[in-house]
Amino acid sequence: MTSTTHTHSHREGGTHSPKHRTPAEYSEVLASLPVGGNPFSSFIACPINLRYEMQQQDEKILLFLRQHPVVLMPWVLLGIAMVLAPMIAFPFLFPFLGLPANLAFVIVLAWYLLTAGVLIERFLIWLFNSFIITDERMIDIDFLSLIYKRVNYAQIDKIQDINTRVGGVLYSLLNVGTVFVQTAAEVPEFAIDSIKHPAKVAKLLNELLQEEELEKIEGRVR
Amino acid sequence: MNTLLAQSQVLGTNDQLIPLLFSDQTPFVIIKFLVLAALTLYLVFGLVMIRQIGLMTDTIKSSINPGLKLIGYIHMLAAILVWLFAMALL
Repeated sequence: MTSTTHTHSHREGGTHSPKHRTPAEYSEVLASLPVGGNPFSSFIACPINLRYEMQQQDEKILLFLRQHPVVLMPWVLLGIAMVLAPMIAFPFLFPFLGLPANLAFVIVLAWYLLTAGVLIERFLIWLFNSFIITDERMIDIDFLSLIYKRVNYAQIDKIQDINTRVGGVLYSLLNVGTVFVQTAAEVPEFAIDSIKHPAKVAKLLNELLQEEELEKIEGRVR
Repeated sequence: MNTLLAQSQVLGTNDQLIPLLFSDQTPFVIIKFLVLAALTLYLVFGLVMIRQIGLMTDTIKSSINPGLKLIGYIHMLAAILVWLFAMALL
């Protein structure tokens, strides 16, 4: 999937309703971002071929967010250590313990299997822990482990306050930070942590909120 | 255990049973048992991972989902092969 330069027709699918403005018409942020992109990316505007469970027919995903890949760095280092461990430690450890060759071989195999399992699990959790902003609501999807899933929804018009926080040398260099969204929904606060371009995300949420208010004032119906 | 008891009966004394139970090979037998038990539990983990990938891909549908499911199946296959290998070797 390749990124293409943004045009209105990309987002609208060629149709234009006089009553309903398209996101690109009211959002400077979306107008400045390329449409689609690598499905493994941590910041995708108007993703192509991506839908979430419970998505309504006329609901459009405007921004798909994951944590910046820098959060995987400890796991990458752990993975490298686990891959190298049998080559470095086991040749000394096994003769010391006096393990039979067949048992030592099975332990090495099991070790690499465990390494693969741990890394796949962390990668999957990173890949699917996501935050989605649509033209109607925001959705926070959390997979805290392989057996625990939590999905929180909040309508855009329930947003009350938006704050951003960028801290740390590495995060400042990479422009990674956290966006806090206070809502009047069942979940009082959404924390979108370790995401790229937190200021852009906050601005987009503000633009969506303003548009929702305009829709109410002008009596525009979706 | 029956073999050990039989041996102890042949030997005639319980004093000689204890050294048999705690022979040089006993730690290796325990390690083999633990490795096999861990690999059997790992098979369950592999199944959980496949189930969870299904749940994740149902939650977010994208073009990468078939590849992720394939990774889950390959991982499960690897777990089965290592388990079979361990059963054959140990």
